[in-house]
Amino acid sequence: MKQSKGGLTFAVFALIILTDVIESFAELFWKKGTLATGIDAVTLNNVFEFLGKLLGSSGFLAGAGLYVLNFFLWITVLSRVDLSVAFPTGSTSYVIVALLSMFFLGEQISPYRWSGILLIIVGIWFISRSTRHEEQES
Amino acid sequence: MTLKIFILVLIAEICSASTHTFFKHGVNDIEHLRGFKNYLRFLGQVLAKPQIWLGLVVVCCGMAVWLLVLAEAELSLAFPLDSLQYIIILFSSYLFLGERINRDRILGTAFIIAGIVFVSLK
Repeated sequence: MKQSKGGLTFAVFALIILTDVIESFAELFWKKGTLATGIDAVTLNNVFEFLGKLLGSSGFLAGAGLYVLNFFLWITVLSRVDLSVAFPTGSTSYVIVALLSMFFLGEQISPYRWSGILLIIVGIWFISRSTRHEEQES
Repeated sequence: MTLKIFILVLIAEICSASTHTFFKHGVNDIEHLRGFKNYLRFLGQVLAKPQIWLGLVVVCCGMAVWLLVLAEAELSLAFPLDSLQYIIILFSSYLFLGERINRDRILGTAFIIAGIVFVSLK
């Protein structure tokens, strides 16, 4: 049953980052979809009106398409590494978003954010090392 | 952040973590060999697994709850709570998937959670 005990290779790492980038876009599309409904707060009274407008919005459909694509990519990742490796490695997206917004949007990165980025990188290094231990033991 | 939003986010996080666990459980006993033909065969076997479909049902429930959250809360408020999932997944990987959780993996997850908290402080 436990055949996917592989290490965190570059290919798997890149695939995990790709799924996170796609998920960010999907979430943005869905946020656009909820805004397009024009409903600020969902209550029991307007929940069906909200869902009806949402399911017909282009933002929702675009997001749904990206989620289907992501499903296949993520399943592929899971066939290669442990879930307790794959999932935390996805936090690389926080680092990428911060660095991209610095280089392309000229955003300042506060000392808090820099420390957060550093902590995440250290965390992923530990996660990656945890798979090396497994390979040696087995 | 109201209590209602917090509970909704918690439900969404539990749904999402359950889905990842179901998916991994379904994929675990399928052999994934290299090569394009083998990949298509792998995907076919994946879609025949009940755990995968169970996971898809649960993730749809989670997303419905998540949409209710997004309609009310700012994205920036909802994202830091995502770090809850790292803890839930660490436990479910150990309990339901039999993954060997060593010291490095716990340390790595702890560093990542701390990092996400710091990143969202701005």
